[in-house]
Amino acid sequence: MRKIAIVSAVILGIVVAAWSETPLDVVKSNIDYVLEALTNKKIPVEEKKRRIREAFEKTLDWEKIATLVLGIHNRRITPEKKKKFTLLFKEFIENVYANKFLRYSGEKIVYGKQFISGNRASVNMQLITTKGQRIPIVCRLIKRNGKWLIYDVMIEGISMVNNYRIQVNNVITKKGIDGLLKILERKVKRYKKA
Amino acid sequence: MRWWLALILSVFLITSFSSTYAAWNVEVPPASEGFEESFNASMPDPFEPLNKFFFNVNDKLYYWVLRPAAKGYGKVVPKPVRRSIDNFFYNLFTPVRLINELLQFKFKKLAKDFARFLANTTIGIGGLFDPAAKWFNLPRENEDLGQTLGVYGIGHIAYIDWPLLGPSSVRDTAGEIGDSFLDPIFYMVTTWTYIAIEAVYEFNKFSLNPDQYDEIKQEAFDPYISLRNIYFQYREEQVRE
Repeated sequence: MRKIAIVSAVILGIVVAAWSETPLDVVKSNIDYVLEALTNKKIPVEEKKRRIREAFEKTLDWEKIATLVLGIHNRRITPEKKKKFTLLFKEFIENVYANKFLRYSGEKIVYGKQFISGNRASVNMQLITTKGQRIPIVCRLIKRNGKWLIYDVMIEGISMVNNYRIQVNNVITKKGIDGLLKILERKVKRYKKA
Repeated sequence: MRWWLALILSVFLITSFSSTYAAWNVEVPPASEGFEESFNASMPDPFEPLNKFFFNVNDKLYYWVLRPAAKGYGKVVPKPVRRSIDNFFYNLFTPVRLINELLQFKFKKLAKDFARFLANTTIGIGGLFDPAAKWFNLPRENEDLGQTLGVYGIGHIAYIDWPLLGPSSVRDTAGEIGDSFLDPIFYMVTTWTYIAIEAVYEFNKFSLNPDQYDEIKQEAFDPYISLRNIYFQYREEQVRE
């Protein structure tokens, strides 16, 4: 009986902790997790990459991102094609950002305010380069099943989702969804080789 | 000498108090639902065929000439020196920024930028170093006439991808030309010397981050559209700031 009480208390504790995680906590804990690996010289590059991918996997809302990036084409393509696009786009973005993170050279991150309205939120940050330059970054989050997930990142006012959506619209209009998937496949392959 | 120090000190005091209300720490609208489904505003591009032609020219120019040249230059001139060159010119162009901050009624920025100028010109040895950003929490400000026009409500009118110079717009090109007329140095040297100064500044700056365009291209599905949109979003953000 006592065991059950302890176990349920622990479970309750975990659930409460997960529920009370604010958008800022989500962003900060994941960046800390990645930076910890990046600054540790003993950890090999492959392990670093794996950790970056792991953080991306659990904190980004890939379904939402794919929907937004597809924009008006989201409802026009088959579910299979969407699934394929989501997987490829995820792999592509993970590679793009893994490369960016791997170039980390002691930049500092300052966290600012978080803004929550309903199930949407944004978290302000600044990346301070070793030169002392400040690069504003904003993460946009959405609440899914009680958990905050990132669905867009804005660096110096440039929204990742917006930038890819405009391009995707252009490519699909000209070459169709298959043309887009072909481009994505080629890009992902190139990252794998490198 | 004593009034000089007093001036620097008082400006720092003002700015250190005001820096807690930093411009970056405000809500980015909209964090709410609805914005995702609509297409955001984008850059008007009536000259697209011509721009695409020059985009391709610039692409070749970048891979065949500019990037190799910048990397070669980077091997000869060490990075700290190139940074100091960049700092020096950036500091030299401060009057233009101050005028634009005035034209945009951004007095807090004006005070900060002036403090930056004083600190970097004195402690930073004529602007070669940037103690203002490192020690006094006064980062670089970027204000130009293109942004001033944007603040006044003037749109880009049309996108222009200039050969060699890259992405710009009708508004921002007019701004660039206007900025040189606002620059005291423009009246101190011959026009060709001024163009040479600008060219050295831009090439040196390019050498500090020569892979940026290549990265944008690798990360894009349609590099032309991506570059145009990045330019547009970046300038919009600068106008908003």
